[in-house]
Amino acid sequence: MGKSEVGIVKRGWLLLVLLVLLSAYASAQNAEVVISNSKDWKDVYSVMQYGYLAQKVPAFIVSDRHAPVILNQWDPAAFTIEAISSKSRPQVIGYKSIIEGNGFTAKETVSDQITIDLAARLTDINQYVIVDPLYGYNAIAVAPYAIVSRSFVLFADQDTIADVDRFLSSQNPEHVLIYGHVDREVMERLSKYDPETINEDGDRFANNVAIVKKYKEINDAKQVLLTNGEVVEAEIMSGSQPVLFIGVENVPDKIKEYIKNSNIAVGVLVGNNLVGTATTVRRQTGISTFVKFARNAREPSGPVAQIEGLDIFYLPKVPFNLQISKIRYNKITRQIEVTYTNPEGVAVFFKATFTVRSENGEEQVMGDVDPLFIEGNSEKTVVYPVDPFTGEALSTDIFVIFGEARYSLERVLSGTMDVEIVSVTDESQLQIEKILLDRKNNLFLVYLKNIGEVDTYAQTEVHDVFLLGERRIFGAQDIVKIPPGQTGISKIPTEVFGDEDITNNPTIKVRTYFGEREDALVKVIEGQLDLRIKGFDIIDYAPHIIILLLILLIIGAMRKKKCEHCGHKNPRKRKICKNCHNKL
Amino acid sequence: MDNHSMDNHQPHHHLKAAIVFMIALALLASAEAQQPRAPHTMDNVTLYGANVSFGGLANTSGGSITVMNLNVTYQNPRWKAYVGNISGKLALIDAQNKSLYDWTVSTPEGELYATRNDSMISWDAITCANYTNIFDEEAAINFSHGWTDSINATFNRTVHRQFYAGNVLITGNSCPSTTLNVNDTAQDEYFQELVLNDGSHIVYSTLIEQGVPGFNNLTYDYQMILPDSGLEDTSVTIPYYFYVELI
Repeated sequence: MGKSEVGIVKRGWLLLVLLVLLSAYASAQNAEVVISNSKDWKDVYSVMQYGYLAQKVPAFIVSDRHAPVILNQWDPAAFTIEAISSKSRPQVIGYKSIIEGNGFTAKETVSDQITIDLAARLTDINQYVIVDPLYGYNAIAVAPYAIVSRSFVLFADQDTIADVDRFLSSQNPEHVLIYGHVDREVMERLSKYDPETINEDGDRFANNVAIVKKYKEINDAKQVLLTNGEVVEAEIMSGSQPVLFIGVENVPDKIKEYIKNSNIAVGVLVGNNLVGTATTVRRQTGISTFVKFARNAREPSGPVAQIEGLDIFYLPKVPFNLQISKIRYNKITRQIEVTYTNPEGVAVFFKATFTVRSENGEEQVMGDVDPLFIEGNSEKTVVYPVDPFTGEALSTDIFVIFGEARYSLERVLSGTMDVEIVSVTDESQLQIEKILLDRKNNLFLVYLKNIGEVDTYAQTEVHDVFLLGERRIFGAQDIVKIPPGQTGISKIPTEVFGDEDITNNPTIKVRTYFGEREDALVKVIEGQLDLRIKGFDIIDYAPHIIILLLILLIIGAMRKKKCEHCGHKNPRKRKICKNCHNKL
Repeated sequence: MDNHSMDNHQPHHHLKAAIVFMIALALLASAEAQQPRAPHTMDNVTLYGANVSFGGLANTSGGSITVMNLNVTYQNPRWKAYVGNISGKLALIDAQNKSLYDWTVSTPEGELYATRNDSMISWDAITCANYTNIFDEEAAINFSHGWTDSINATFNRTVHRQFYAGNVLITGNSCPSTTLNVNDTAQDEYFQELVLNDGSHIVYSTLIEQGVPGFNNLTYDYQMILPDSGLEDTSVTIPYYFYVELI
């Protein structure tokens, strides 16, 4: 081989080495996509926040059909993909092979504790936000704040707090924020981290405004995302702008006031489910409002292309509802009686306006100034005094706004109903005697005396109970019947009371609805009573006592009788000593 | 001529040959990638010699010079079109969303926006895109600036109506724009599409019409074209997100 040929060979090898190095460099520079493969919204949420905090490209699949389609938006030459799959609830099995089949370099991580695993990967993060997984909307509210403050959101309730605490202990966190209502065990267990808390009486809209204010301390965004906290979507999780809840059918006053008093100029609605309330925001606050409603289809379909919906993962909703079962005009009392039914297990606040008309053209408007409370799975009758109607055929227009919190009335109940006409008197009379807290059974016991002469039905609520720093209302689901002259007990389920909670509630506001008719508790009595703790009650321990007595009897029966003369121990039943034959 | 100088010339010959070979390969590859369609028209402009049937097999015999123009139209894989209609309602409503009166909007107004950015558009910073914005966008989606169908070449006019994007006034005839065909014919009045920028990202905007005949003579409220990936032989579709403004 001549010198020139050797030179060519050397240059060829050099070129080859350069090419290899370049390709290695290029692959190292490939962006990484992380895709959530899970049916559990908490996993989806955690993957999205991990992706944004780790500066990767996060995404999620919402079904098995979605799994290959989502891959069409990335170039295999420019992206590698990691699938983070739920061990127990994946969308697809073996997602790695699907990804590799589309030409990507892929890996798959399978886990049954995705949130904590991903939190552990982020070694430069040591600030955490804690939310209860029962309230998915709280997680959505804090998501943008978590990104801008470089915090990781963890889910904790009484069942999972041990794992979360163990993880936090290993991280020595710099700051912990507890957002929204959490279980007592969570509060107590996390107290050692001296956490900051945001929880304004469990009101999701009030809490949302508070976290938006914290966001704006870091990034004074003049643009917000409008949602109701029921979906995970990329723009919501990106942290580029704070999230503001606007309600499903009604925009709470708290939100409108905040927008008007802030420097927010633009709202972007994600998805088109809430166009109605977003339009209300636009018109009542004056901010520009855009709707992000679609994306281009990822499956090629020709030059004139299709569009498809946004990638959205729906969170489980906290179900609450309100119905009106009866509306009556009582001629004798001159009252409109409205009976509400709460068919779900979640307590609700409501505020109503009624326009009652007769066939004679009479019209009267009545309603509530302040929101009222109705416990889950219960009924309540509210009465409104009216001027006498002369007509015999009455109907009413109904407009009721309701929600989970007192000033977060986001749903609407509206329509028209016929009004039944009755002529009924109510001679019931009641007196509230005392209220006891049964700590063993987590019950308020309200003692009610029937001081009238007719059977009386009653249902009781306790208001403004301060529990774990939150003002709460508890109501009895059952109606008690109290004969005349008797005392009945209305039992109200509550939560565990700590010693501090008892100290914070020396008196309790008690409100009792009662009446002669079980389906029309048209009277109300209210009082502020000293809270007493229920003492030892033998009835509560009767089973234990009986068992103890039986045991003692059995032991006694098994004991032997000792002879006084010779000391021999005889069976209990014997009357003559077996040994010395003397009388026992 | 000494051996040394002869030895030095030989590597240059090899290199030249390699370059020519690579160019030939590239031309062959691009030619194949074009996937030519059947020509629309085949005009036999100049014919000297034997007759050849129009559109038939050109089998020229010796001694003739035949000039044939080929006019080929084929689907452009680098652009996607979106067409459709918009419905809505105008109403006088109170704070409880009760309407005093409402009109079904048969004459919708406003704009449709589309952007590649999935995280945030700064709507209060919207303005006309400039040359640098467009150039950067072309690079980002693998478009060559010199292509006939580059973004810059496509939005090479400034013909559009004035409108508001949120609170931002977009003055008429100020932004890079184009207009889309009506009944397969180029025109200026309808379906005006612009290129905007929010300071970081390109945002395409099309002005909504009122049931105007579109490219295929069916009526549409909007027509829009968006650039797709400029890579050859790719099935990757660039994601675009669509916005409308509530009025």
